[in-house]
Amino acid sequence: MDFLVPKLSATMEQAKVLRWLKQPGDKIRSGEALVELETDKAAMEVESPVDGVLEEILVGEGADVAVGAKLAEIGEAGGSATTAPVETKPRPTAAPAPPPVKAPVAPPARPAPAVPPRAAPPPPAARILASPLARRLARERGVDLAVLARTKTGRIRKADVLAATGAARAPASATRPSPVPAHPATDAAAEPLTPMRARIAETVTLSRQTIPAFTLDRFVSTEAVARARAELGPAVERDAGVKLTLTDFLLQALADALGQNPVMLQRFADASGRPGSVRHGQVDIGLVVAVEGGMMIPVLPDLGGRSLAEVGVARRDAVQRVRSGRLVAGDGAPVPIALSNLSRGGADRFEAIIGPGQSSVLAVGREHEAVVARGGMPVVTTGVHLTLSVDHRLIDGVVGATFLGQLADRIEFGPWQS
Amino acid sequence: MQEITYREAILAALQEEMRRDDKILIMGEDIGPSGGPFKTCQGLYEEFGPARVRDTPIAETGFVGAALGLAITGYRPIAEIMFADFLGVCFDQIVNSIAKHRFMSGGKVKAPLVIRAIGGAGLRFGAQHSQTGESWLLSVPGLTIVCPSSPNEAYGMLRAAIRADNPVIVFEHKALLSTKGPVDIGGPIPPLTGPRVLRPGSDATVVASLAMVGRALEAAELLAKDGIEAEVIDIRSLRPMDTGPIAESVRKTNILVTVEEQAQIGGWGGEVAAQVTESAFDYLDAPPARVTLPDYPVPYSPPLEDAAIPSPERIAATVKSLV
Amino acid sequence: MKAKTAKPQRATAKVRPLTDKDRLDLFRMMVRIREFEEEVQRSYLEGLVHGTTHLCQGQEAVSAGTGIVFREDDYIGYTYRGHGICIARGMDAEAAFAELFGRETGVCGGVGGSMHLTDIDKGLIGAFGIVGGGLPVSVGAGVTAQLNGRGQISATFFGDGATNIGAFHEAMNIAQVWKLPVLFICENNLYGEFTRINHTTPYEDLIKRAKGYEMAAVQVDGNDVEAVYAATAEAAGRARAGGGPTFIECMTYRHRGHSRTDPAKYRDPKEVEAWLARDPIKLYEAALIKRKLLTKQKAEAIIAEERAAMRAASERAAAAPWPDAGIDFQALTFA
Repeated sequence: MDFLVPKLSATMEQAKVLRWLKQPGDKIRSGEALVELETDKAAMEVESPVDGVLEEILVGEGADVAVGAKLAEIGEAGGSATTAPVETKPRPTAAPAPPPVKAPVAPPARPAPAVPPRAAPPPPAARILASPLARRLARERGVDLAVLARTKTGRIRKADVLAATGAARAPASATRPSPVPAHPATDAAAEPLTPMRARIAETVTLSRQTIPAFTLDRFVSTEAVARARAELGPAVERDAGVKLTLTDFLLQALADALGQNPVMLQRFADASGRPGSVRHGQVDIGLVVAVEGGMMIPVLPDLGGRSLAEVGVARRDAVQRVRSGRLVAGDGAPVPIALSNLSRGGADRFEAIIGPGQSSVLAVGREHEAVVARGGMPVVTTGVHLTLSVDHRLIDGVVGATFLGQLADRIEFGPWQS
Repeated sequence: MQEITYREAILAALQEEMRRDDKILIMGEDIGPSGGPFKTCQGLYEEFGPARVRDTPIAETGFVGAALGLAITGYRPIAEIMFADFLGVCFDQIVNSIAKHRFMSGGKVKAPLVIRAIGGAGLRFGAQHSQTGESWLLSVPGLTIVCPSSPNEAYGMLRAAIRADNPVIVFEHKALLSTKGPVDIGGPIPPLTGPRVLRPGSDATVVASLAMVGRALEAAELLAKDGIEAEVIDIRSLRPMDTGPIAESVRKTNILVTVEEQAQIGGWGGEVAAQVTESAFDYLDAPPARVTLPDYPVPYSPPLEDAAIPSPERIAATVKSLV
Repeated sequence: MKAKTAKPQRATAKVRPLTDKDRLDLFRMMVRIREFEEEVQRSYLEGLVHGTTHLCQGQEAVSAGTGIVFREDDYIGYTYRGHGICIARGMDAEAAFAELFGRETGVCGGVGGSMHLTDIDKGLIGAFGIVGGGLPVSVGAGVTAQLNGRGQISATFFGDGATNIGAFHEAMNIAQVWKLPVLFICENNLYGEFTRINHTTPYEDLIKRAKGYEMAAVQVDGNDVEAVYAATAEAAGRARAGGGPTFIECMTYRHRGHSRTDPAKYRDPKEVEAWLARDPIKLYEAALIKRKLLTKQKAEAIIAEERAAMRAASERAAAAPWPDAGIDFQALTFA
């Protein structure tokens, strides 16, 4: 089985191998420390999840490794294959002071591990096993097979890709693999998940397991939006037949901000077994739409430079596609970012989960009155919390903060054009 | 629709066609007054006489070759091969003469003839009398090869084969002879070739021939209990092999399983898998699987023979391992 | 060569005596076949004939002597060494050459080739490249002839080598059991491909084969065209009258090797010399001159005419176009 670099803290993205505590050929017991890693927080020992033999060390001491990278190969006692990634239990040691941050390391590589110094050339990148159908779906929907491969033992199949995209299509049968056991042996009364639920469960699990995200927050006033809506809404409704909503304004602002910050249009992707990024050519935005028992994310393509009327029509059509169950091929296309607008919900702010294949997601909380300071005076205004979650593998905090600031300005100050 | 056996369906087709066209005659071993071991020609001799219902010597090369001679000179002969296993005896006539004569003449000589070969395992006949032989002639251009899986198919396909202007090999199955089913007596002549979907399903495509069709349908019943919907397709004709509808099904189900009563190497399942892989590669979610006989001759002892023939359980288990 | 005649099983049918015109026609036909084959050989060396070809020089008397017996509606099956009977039955020489040259105007569109000259409209039901393979087919044509009830016959030509293969025995057996109007015409040229008959067969007189089937049989000098005619006409008359099949063994010799790649060095030069001295055309020319039906000059004139005609046909065939590579092969098989 693979012995991987665990994510030992919320912000951990990489680690340095300080010291191997076991050598190849050593017998190891479950819970026994195998390696000492240095993270951004502390030095930690990582324990073996199983009984067995340390067969091969793939990363030498002193090397930097990314979360999820393979450290070693463990031969399990009894030889049974596992289907889950290694669960490791970090145990803090008496940590020396954190060393200074080193030069940036490469994003996590799968499956080639970081190269140990003075070691033999690395083994060639193992081929990602995926069925032809899974490869096609992944290609069409922008799913990174390398990401899926980290959590999948054996061949990646249709169900895995669909789960990763949260696509609408139900799996052909309830017997397809699901991360949540359909019939947990310990609870006979449990109802199996609906196919949509199972897929969402798998997707969000995958996201949490594989995407090192950080979150940025900003409160913005929607007073300007409300004024523009009252001013422009009737004409748009008359001419384009669509009633403008806050979502349309948010989408137009988001599209403009993305246009100014094309770095936010990157997507994390598999580049022949190595991590890579895809620069998305146009401003495509996924829109999270709630449906009974779950949610879907249709795609609003090419929103750059669109009028509010055009955005409104695109938004209305997308929602209708979801509600009528008639998603089009483009709805499975990869998008760099999604918008989840719960402005009419009950939570002031919330953090959305980045879909596999996306690099960020914008969550919009309850539209509500709040006291803000303006020009040294407390002012009551109406607004929303924007919560932006970002994949740190591609985008750093300063970039995200700049983007969020520009987005907030755009929402608060317009200009709005029908 | 009448409920009759596969044997009666064959007989009905022969009778009907021979009454319709007096250029049709049938030759074979023990098909005359004795009625033969499988009784697929019973009563024909009495009705049509010795000129059109001809008992031959045990000489497949002789009478199968003679069928070609009759066909190219104006008759429409049917040759019955008592056991499909005996096709080996007349291989040269089929491969080098019958299949090629029209071609070698530049298309000028028509050869409308039918070879009926009764094959298949399950009746404890041992290794030399239990083969379906269905793939033996698969690589021979110039032949049409069909495999009726039910009484209605036997009736319809045999009539269509007799009316075809080219050589047709009809593989019948002796384990099916006594099975009953609805037959559209006097109904329209069905297409001679091309597969037929017998049971729709969304989760796996199961393609079978001859007696394996019934077993595939039984397997589909077993799978349905587990919530797996198998689409069962009767391949019907091996040559020409139209895998278009099979690929179409796989585009929907993403899983392909073939079931045939012969050894895996050289079976038609490999060709179906190859063609479907060529035309629907991006829709396959698992490697195509073939359920076949093991790679040894059909054994005699009942438990051994039963274990060798693909069972509904084995077919179902194969499907389950893929979905 | 002395011919032996087996005891016929039925009263000898009446044979139409040959007229003087028939005799001249027989001579001319043997010359035509000879010149056809010589032209094939020349064309082969020029690269016009492809693959291989099997020539019948020396065996023309069998083709001519039997060919004159057949009716338009009889069925004739033969082998890869079957150019002679095709010419004897009136296959157009130019179309035959074109077929050998692989041209579009070939009698089979260039698809068949030297071993598969077929012309169903002339009763030439097919040339079979597998030794013995055509015999059962001719038996089937014999069933047709019998069922039609119009006095047709089916004749099948084969060599001495074919009498060792199963198809021969199955065909002989069925034909005799069903009393089919089939003539089994064996051209015993003493060699099965490259091997002399005494190495492959328990006896050289293949007429003995027929005894096992109680079939009427006759052995004739295959280089004596009138003897071939007489034996064939008698057997045909019997068959047309419902008297069943006959095995006719024609003792003959091929002047060339088995095929164009075979120089036939395995043959005893004395044997070759003896048979060349008994060239059927030379024998018949001498006989007709003796009967004052022919002069040396007239004979040479006939040879020159036929040579020129075959050369002209060959040249026209060589000028014919190749078949279109876009030919619909599916239609050839399943039109």
